[in-house]
Amino acid sequence: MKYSAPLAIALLACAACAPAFADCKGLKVEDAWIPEGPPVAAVLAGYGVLSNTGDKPLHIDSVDGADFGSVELHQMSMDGGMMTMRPLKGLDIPAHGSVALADGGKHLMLMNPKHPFKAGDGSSIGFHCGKDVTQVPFSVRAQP
Amino acid sequence: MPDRYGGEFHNVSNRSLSLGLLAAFAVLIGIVAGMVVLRPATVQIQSGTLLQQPRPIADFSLNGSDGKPFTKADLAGHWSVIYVGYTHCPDVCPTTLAQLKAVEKGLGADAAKVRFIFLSIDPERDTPETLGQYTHYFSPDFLAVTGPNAQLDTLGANLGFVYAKVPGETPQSYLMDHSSALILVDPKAGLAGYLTPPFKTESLVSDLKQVIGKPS
Repeated sequence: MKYSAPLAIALLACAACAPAFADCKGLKVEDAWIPEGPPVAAVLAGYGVLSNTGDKPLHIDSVDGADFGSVELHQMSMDGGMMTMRPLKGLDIPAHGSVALADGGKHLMLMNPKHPFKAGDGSSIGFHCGKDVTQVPFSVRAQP
Repeated sequence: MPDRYGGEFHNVSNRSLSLGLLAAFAVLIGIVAGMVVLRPATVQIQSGTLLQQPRPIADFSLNGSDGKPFTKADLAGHWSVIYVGYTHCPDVCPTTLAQLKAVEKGLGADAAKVRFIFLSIDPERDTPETLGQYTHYFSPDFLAVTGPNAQLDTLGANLGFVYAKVPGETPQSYLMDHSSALILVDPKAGLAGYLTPPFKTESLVSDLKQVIGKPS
């Protein structure tokens, strides 16, 4: 029993530091693309399918990109004939599950592009899970 | 006797019944004919609702991306499809504008009878100039308009759209909630109906062709 206190402290410390050990291991992003927008657009969208190939749930805390002033995760929804958009506080992807970032639903909000983007251009977007980050290449495509 | 009276009575009853039925039938024919003759010409559309009678719109004054004022008079003489949105909307607004471009193309020669208007409900960030540059990326034929909130509110009450500002993390990163329907205005500047999402290009083209072909 005399070891219980240090053990409890160790366990607590571990629980507290758990998020620091969180990583993006298992994160796979497919069909990552940015619809080409007007050159004056202050905001662009980012789409793709985020999969978790691992056995543990993944939590994406934040997203960023060197080509943009800031990047946020947003949820678009239609409620009673109203289009609404709200920022999301991160994104959970269940083990062996996937989450789609698509038109009219969850998407990346790429704010204040540092230069105009044309179809064929690319941009690297970082997905942060705790202290870990996975860089994902996004390609700019014309609107279908 | 009972047989004779009974017989007569029976005959009279038959005649009355026949006359009554004939009269009822005539009334029914009259009602049906009246309904057919007096019924307003209605057009069934796939993507929304047309009003039985267009609703008048009160005067308003907005600013067009062409540098000219945009008033009720600018809605007359052609059909208008009005899309309410804002340029800081990265997802549904550009997608819808790109779709309207496809609709414009699909209308072919009929496109000349329709004006597509992007109405920004975010005048704080969307100046007519940037709004025009944004909108013309999708089609040089599209018109973009915005104006003071008081004017947008008046027009909203007339056209049946609403919008609301939702604060963001910084004063400049706020979001706008807005009505999603496309608003249809007839060549007499009357509110004619709404096209509602989810939008399908083919349905919008066929609906607009039908509406344009309807005598107004």
